[in-house]
Amino acid sequence: MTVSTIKQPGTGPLKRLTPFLARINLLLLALAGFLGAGLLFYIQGWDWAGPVITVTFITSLVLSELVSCLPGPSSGRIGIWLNRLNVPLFILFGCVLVYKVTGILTMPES
Amino acid sequence: MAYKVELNEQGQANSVGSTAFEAGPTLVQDNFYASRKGSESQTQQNLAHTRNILEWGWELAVFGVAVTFWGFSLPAIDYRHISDYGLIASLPVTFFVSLGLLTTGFCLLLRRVSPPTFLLLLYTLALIFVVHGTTALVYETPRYSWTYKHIGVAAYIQANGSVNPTIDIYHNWPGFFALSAFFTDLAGLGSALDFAAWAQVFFNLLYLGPLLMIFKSLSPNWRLVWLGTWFFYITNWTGQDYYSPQATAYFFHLAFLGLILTYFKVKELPSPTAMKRWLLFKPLANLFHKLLKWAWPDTPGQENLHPGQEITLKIGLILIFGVIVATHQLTPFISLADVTVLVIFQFCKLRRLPVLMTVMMAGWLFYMADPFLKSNGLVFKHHFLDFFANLDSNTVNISNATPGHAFISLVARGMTVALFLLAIGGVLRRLHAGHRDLKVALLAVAAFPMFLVQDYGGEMIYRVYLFSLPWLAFLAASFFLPGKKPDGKSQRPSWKASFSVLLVSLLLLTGFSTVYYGNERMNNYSQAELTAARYLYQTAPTGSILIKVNFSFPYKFEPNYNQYVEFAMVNDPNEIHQGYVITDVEDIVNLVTEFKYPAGYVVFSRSQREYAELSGVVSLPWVDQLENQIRRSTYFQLVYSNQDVQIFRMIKEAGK
Repeated sequence: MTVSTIKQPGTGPLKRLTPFLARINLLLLALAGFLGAGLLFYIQGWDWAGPVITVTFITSLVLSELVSCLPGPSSGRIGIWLNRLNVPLFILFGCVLVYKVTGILTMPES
Repeated sequence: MAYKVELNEQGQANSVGSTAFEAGPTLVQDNFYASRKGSESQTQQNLAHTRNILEWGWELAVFGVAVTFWGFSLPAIDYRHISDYGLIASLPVTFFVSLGLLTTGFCLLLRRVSPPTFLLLLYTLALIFVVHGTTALVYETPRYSWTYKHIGVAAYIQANGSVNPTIDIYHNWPGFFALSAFFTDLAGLGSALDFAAWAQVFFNLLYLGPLLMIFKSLSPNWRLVWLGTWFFYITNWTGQDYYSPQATAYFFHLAFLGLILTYFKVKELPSPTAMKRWLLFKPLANLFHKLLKWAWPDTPGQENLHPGQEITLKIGLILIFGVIVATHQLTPFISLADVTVLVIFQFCKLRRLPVLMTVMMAGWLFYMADPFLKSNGLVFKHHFLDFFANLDSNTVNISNATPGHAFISLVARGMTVALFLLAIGGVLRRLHAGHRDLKVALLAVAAFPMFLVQDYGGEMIYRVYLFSLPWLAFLAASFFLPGKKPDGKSQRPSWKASFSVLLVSLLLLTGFSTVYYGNERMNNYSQAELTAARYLYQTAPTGSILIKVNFSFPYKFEPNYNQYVEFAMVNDPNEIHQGYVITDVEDIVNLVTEFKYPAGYVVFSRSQREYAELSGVVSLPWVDQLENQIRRSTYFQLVYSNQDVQIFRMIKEAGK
């Protein structure tokens, strides 16, 4: 099976709409990540959520990198989903970074 | 038939059969000439072979003589009487003859049509042993006071089986120390003190592999590859290759870059349309595309990797970077800067790698090194984004130093400037020869933004130089061997070029020996100093304060080092003692009593005096005066003394 057998985006008006939808899709994922971060931190606290998010993000990035080496459409699809997963994880990780860096910079002189 | 007989005599009868003879005299005559030609070429081959063997013999003889001279020089090195100009003034002539012969032999090898690799390797290994093995063989103890601090951390892990991140920064990046403790245990040795003196030889041998890998990925010209390696070793004067986390991380950093440059090159330059996705503006994308097209590397790309190989290499890269992150604070930032530059300029196809590296670094920094950040959280605020302040704080103030020390600092600066100039010259000559070395030039300056972050305890300039060095060495070598298009492969250099290489190599080596051995008065410790320090850690009560003039002393090398407070009268880094300036004996008494230390010890040693005199931060008469005051004071008692060290204990602590 070759890459060309993967379902291609629609034609006509849909074709023009697809990039827009893709952007909306990313935006929604980003929003989901942001809300998810807020919820997670509210429920569990930063110190618990931070390492979990970091480790998950590292795992997802490593898997994306490794899957990209594999030939075939299945690995392509897995790669696409992993890349999508990386977007909210990136947002979550950004929140963790902001929290930690702010904490360090506002720390009083010892 | 006569032809046939002659042919047989020439040993070529197999190629001329009866059919050829029967075909007529013309063909047989042709065969005769061909065979004569063949026999001539055989003779030439034999001659070339004999000449090769003679040249090998000659090169091996030069090598043997050089090593013999080095061997003779070792017992003649008077390391106990080192002058202001460092060890170089105490080295016998035979040592320099040895280095000169090695350099000459190596430069002659570069003139050979195709010398065996083992000879090039042999000369490079000999250089490493002569330059770094000399001190290991001659000195009584390992060089540098920092070596002892590192030995102490490994000893702590050996003794306790774990790290304690609240003790100091080393326990927050314990990769090297854990590895060292593991190997020390495995080898059945008591402490890393048994082998730490050989660390410089060990690490420089380790660097050779990745260096060759990197340079081979940059050029197919073997002469350039080996000369670049030679230049690296004769300009690496920063002394960051001792028993330390940075030396270990540097090896992994080189290996990491070697793998990326060799196996993960971008095969096809992205179109301007693809670039517009990231650069947003079409004119900008077009301009960037034109620049990259112009600078596209002329070195051949790697073979297609099998998916299994690619996955294995990627896992290897991630693991190597994981080790770097867990081993050293600064190195991951430089690795990240290098990879980011390679990705942005389309020299590396692993576009997600910088993101992964950032997350791994942040993960370690904010979670594994959390105890360090909590106690030193504001470390990044010092001179943050102040490039020139950080650069200035790293430069030695030679106005207070002794003439010898000032001279050594000037030679170090001169060598750095010379290497940069040679590298710039190399870029220009390579451009003229039709090569585009944008990748190498970018990597040479990729570490420079580190000056914006902080001064790294006054060492950033040395670290930046170290990380730029492989690329500078390659470019400097290309000044002499620019290579010509289309393949840039090896071309035998002219006598003029060979002589220039020899002359510059000898000059750089002289500068290197001056700077690298320049501070040996304070970097070299005697066995008496080590014994005194051991006495201190075995007898001082837990929680005592150990006061020294400065930190030029073997200290913190015992597993219980964390049970004491170390204090230096000059430039003490410990913030709890900030504001304490020691001017006389009363200040020492006040310091011990105010902080209610159970005991206070004051240590005077030969190497501390040497450091005080060389750096000029405090005057030697002041140190002598203070020691006399303590000797006469009723508060102190001399508890230990040998030819190099005097230890005083405070006997009247306040509050008792």
